[in-house]
Amino acid sequence: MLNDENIYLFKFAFRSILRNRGRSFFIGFSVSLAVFIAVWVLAFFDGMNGQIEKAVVNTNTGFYQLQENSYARTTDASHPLPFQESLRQKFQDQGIEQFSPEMVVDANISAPEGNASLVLLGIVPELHKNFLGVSAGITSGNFIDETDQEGIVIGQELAAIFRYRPGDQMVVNYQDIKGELRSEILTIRGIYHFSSNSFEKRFAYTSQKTIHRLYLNEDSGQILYNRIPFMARDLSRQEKFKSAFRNDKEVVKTWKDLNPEMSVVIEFNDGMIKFFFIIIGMTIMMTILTPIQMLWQERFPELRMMNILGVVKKRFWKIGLFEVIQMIFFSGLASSILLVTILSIQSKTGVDFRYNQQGLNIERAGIRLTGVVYPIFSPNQIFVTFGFIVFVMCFSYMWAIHRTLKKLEKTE
Amino acid sequence: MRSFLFLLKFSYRNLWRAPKRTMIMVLSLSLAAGFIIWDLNFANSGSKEVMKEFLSQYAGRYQLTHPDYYEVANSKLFDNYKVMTDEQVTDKSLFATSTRRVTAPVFLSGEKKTLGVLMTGIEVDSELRLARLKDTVTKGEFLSPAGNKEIILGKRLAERLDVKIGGEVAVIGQALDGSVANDLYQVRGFLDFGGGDLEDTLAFTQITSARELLVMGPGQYHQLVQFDMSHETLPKIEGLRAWSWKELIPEISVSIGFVDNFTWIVSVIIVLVISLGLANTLIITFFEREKEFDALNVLGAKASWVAWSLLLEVTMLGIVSMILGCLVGHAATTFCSYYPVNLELFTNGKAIIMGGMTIKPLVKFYPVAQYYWQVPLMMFFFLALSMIYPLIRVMKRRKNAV
Repeated sequence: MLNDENIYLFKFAFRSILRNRGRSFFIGFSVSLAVFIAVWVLAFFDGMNGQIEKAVVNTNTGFYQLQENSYARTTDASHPLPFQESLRQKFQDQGIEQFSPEMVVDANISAPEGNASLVLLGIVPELHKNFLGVSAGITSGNFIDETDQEGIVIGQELAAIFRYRPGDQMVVNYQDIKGELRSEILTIRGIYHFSSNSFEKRFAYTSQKTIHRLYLNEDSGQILYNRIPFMARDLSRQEKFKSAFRNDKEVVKTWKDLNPEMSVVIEFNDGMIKFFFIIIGMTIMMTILTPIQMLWQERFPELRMMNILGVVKKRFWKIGLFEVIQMIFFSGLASSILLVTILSIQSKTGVDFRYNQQGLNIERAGIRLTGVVYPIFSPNQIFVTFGFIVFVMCFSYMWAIHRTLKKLEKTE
Repeated sequence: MRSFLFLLKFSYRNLWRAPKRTMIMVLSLSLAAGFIIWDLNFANSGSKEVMKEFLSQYAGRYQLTHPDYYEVANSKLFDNYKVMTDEQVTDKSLFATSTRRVTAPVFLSGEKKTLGVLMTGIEVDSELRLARLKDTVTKGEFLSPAGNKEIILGKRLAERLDVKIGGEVAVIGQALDGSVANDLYQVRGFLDFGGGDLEDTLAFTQITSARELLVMGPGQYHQLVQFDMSHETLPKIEGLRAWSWKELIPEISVSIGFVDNFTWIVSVIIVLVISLGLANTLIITFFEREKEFDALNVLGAKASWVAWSLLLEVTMLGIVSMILGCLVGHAATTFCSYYPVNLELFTNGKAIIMGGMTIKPLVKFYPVAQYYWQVPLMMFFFLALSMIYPLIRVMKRRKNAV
């Protein structure tokens, strides 16, 4: 690819860069810094959006939910579907390992301390343990097991408000499948600390046997579900899952469908990043355009001399191209080193924004707003970095060379 | 004075030596200043407009309550037994822009479910006049001022309870005398918050019905919600406490604060990048004139005189750029006050949901006077920083040259 002439021109371009080291350094540094900042902001928002997503997913929502139709429309739990082996196989075929078939019954408790609404989840403990870390967050007592018929696990916040401890009994009020108001006594097996305060106050776990007894008034002997939340790496396989699970009894929903408020927050953040990128791009372009043009204008007498000696315009463009390539390489390298260093550190230490929250634990749309953001460093950011630099440098150099050669044309 | 005027003239002429280059520098500085002013005005107006839109729907700018009604550490928790009356409100002028509310955490029972909600008893007349809650009723009607035991509830809540307009729901709660409060309410309308959480958790009835349910005295209520958005201050009334919206919905305040801080950070970054580029251009410009400096030196000009001339040159450049920048920023701001920006631009056309409610803010820009001196000051600061290195280099060369 590089013949003798090109090697010579490449060296020539390198020496031209080195001729004004300070200036070349300044141009490279300006671009590197701007690109570093732009990509850092991208990494920061990637981190923040990732944390928001993780927080929503961890409110027993999962990345996706397979919901029975009437539950999907009105959260009516009265048409549960059996969890059959064929469905389990389908999950495995899709590479989904973390899923939890659940029956969902709205209930409430009344006590001298006040009233509270509960979402009573009838789970298969083994599957749920694999799906979410609630069982690992047990602070006192134990998590329920499959054979349990009257146990319940509640959140730390609910326990604190109503002063419950493991072993205590609590009266749960709800309407069963026939719509009849029922009050049943359940024994608290354990207390968990997980996700946010509002999650701990709202979500309580029972076994499938217990919920069958409470809601259906009989043990059906099989696993029933109104919904199956499941985990995935992200939402990229949305269409694939939707077509894989398509039938007339169920529908697949994403966490964004289920928590529209936080979904819009992420969309808004993405919009801000795009806006920021455009502005930084314009700024850096305007900033380096003049110095690069001045560097080329400065070399005008020597270019003229070379032209008289027979160097054609094509070669000047080649010199410019080689200069751009080298500047891109050095600026890209500098930005990448800066990014890798800073982001590697910050992805572990995080960026502390707690001062913005005045020391409060703040929750929005059911999730705790994070005070420490951990920027995410990913390889595609390096592509973005180089892409940005290539665009800015090429545009600026092309403009400068074009202007200089035009001037040269006039003097011919 | 004469020497200063000469210095001024000298610097001014130097600026016009390469007019294109000077113009580009002025253009980049003024555009940056203009953009930053526009952006800050955007952030400020955006926050205010979003909050106005959000607060005027339901939450209000602040609430007057019994001092112990809300828990200081967590304003989501409240004590329903802490009530207030009109007699406690010494500043009677507040009533013109306020509305009284009674809050009742109750269970609503329909055909299939019993769900916990916060039912709020409202003065229908003043809510219709001050708040925009009525706009969210998309099915059925808002509460009638003369009606009794009517209820409007979130669309999603109605779907979950399986209730229809004109149907009835049972309300069960605890009255303030400790007895079990229960009654039947007729469903009059559904609130549509665009799928926000409040659709699941809110219901409204007439204040008289709520008082009756909770066995409260005729003049008692829990909150006096203020809808006057023109002031920022909170009243101080003995025996009561004013809670600003920032205390009551800190999650929204934090989110808004984050966007504001981000805008300032972006502004500083832009100035930093521009300053680096400017420093580069200045270095090249100064070294282009090396021989000229030597000649001046031989003619008797001190190194400091040359430095002063360069400083003056950059100051003039800065002043012109800042004036232009302020004009550009103000023109862009004024344009956007006539042609508001829809924030859905940032969300791919999706409605913004805040605090469980949908808002559709069209941001009408308002210029903030302080930005017109803060931004130029910040830019001058960075401009001064960008001058340090080129000046040091010039001074060093002077020493070497003489």
